Amino acid sequence: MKRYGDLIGDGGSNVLEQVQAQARRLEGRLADVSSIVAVMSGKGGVGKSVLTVCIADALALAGRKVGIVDADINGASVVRMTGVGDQKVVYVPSGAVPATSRLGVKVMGIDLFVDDKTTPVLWKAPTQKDGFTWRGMMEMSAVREFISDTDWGSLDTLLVDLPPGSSSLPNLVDVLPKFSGAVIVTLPSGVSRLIVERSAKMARDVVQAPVLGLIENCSYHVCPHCGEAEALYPDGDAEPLAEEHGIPFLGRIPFDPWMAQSSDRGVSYMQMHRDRPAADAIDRISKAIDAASTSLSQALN
Amino acid sequence: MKLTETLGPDEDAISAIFSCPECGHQVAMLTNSMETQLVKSLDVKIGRGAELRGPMSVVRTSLLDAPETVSEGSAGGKCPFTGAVKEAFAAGEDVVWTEAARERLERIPEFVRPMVKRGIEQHARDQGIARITEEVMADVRTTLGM
Repeated sequence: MKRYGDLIGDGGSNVLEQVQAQARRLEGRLADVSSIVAVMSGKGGVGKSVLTVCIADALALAGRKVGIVDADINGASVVRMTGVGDQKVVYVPSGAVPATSRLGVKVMGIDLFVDDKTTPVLWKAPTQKDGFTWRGMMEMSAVREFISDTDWGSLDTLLVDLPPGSSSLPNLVDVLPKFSGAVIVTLPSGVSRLIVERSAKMARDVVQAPVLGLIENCSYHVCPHCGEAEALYPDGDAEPLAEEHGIPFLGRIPFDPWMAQSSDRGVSYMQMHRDRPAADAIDRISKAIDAASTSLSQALN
Repeated sequence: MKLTETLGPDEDAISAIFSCPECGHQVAMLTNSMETQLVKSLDVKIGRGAELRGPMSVVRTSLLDAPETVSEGSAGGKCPFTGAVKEAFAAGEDVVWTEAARERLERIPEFVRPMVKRGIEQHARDQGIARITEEVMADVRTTLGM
């Protein structure tokens, strides 16, 4: 009997060719996707997923064809926020048909594959013990599948909602054959400022990916009675930070409880509350992202 | 094939020996649990022969529906690999696939293969057939329109 060390090569499995085939499939799938934009943050809880959905809705309301990949496998929320939780993934010869929101935004995420949304995402394995050696790869394979196996059709913009942390961007860029750029979301707090610097350096210096801009979320609150804007944080203005790192500052978004409520209910804040100050700010930011990603994609192609 | 023996661990590798109950032909699988899972996470098929792969195969086949105890192996016992092998073989012991039938099954697109396999095995059980051959598969195709 052959022992483990007696095996030559990969025993005929041709793993390299299979991995190359995955890359070719991904490239073919994205041929009709004009730009791919990652939405990232240094830390969690800055409203990145809510903003991803709002930006997608703003672009869709402007007549653009948009898709969202929820790459945050363990903190998935886009399916709920877009109100597509009751839809099931359908398989056709060209791939998996994504869920579609009322505004026509195509959505793919792990929550479309699980019945109980409160169940933690675990992968089948002989044991979960020592899963640190393979769990990250499993999650990245799932994200790659979300992008490559979904029948996106023709899209103007594919937004990728990344999990918090600076390591998620290089993983995504490694997988993708083309990438338009990243948008960084932060809060006007000192801690967020510190961590967003890390993300900016990761994007610009390590991954060398274009950074389309920095968004400051929950910057202030507009009094519904008198209209006066009041700062929510004592310090941490993100605009000087953007200037310091040579990143375009895309704008400030005021805190609005209606945004959280719309997300919880799976209805479009941008459609239902388009007269609110936050919706106006997001609309302007979306147009800036669209213009920047389009010009970058055209330059790269 | 029936699991007849496991050897090791030997340098972190375990050998599982399977035997054909009819002709006695033996096949040994050499692996360890971490390597198996790492390769699985790459979403590549191990073994000779082309594989027709359906969409979302990682998510559809590898997502665990229910949580399990994270600190311990799910299949019981100290060795997770032998537990998984026993678990895999426990389900379909009452019907046996011939080599030719299994090869034919492998040619069916992956995303419908589990459904087809279950349908054929159920048909075999209903008809009291213990050995699934190509003829049984053809019969199922005619009878059930699969």
